[in-house]
Amino acid sequence: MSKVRIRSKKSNSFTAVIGGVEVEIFRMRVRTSVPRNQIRQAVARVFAEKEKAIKA
Amino acid sequence: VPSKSPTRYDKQVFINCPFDDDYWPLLKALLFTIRACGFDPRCARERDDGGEVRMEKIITLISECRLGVHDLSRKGADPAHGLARFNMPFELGIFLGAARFGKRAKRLLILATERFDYQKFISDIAGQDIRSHGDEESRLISQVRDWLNTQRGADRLLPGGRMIRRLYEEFQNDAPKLLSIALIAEDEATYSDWISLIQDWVEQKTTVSKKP
Repeated sequence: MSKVRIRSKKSNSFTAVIGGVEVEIFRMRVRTSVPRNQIRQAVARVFAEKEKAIKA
Repeated sequence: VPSKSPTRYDKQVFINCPFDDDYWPLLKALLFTIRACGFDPRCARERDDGGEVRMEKIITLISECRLGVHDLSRKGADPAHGLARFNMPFELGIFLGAARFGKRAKRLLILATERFDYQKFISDIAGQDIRSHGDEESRLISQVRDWLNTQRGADRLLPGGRMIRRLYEEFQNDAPKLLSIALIAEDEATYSDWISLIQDWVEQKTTVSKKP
């Protein structure tokens, strides 16, 4: 099994030696989606507010 | 057009378009229209698995979709590199190949900025269903709705283009509040967030409209 050794670290990439081969690895900014339930509740609330405004 | 009740495959729409910020308003309108017409938009952005080979991802998506919308409006050179991007014509070619040699029926719509633009850069697609949107969301909505209406099979008639445009305007007005309540900053909303917002909003609107 190859060992991974991190040689240097910069702000958004670092170099690693994997099985004797030097590899530059870039960090990626991963944006995760919000939980589905959170969106469902937001939609329900906006519609409830609109309905309330129509009735008022 | 399927004559029996549509299956999941019949309702899936593969989207082949640019994913840059300039195109985002058109993509958002396209996603909304497909959803409002009762179809399922599918595109490579839905699967952000960095470990998956992009080509495999695209082939899998195409195999799962009967329909395809291919937007070739961004045919010019990329200002950053001065080179044209070939991904869209390439994916259109895969879809046409799947339609021609695959076992399952496929139908496609090709969008361009102006209707006869394609003759200057990809004349081999002459004879396909090519429509223009002039880079306007309202025209794109009508064109995609009209085409989907020919693909609905035994389903009910789709809402008209004007109705979908009005719904889209309402959704756009609601969007800032929806994002705020869901605690999502607009510049951080992911493709999946937008798909969920559109899907839930359309469902809720349909429910409200059916209320006596």
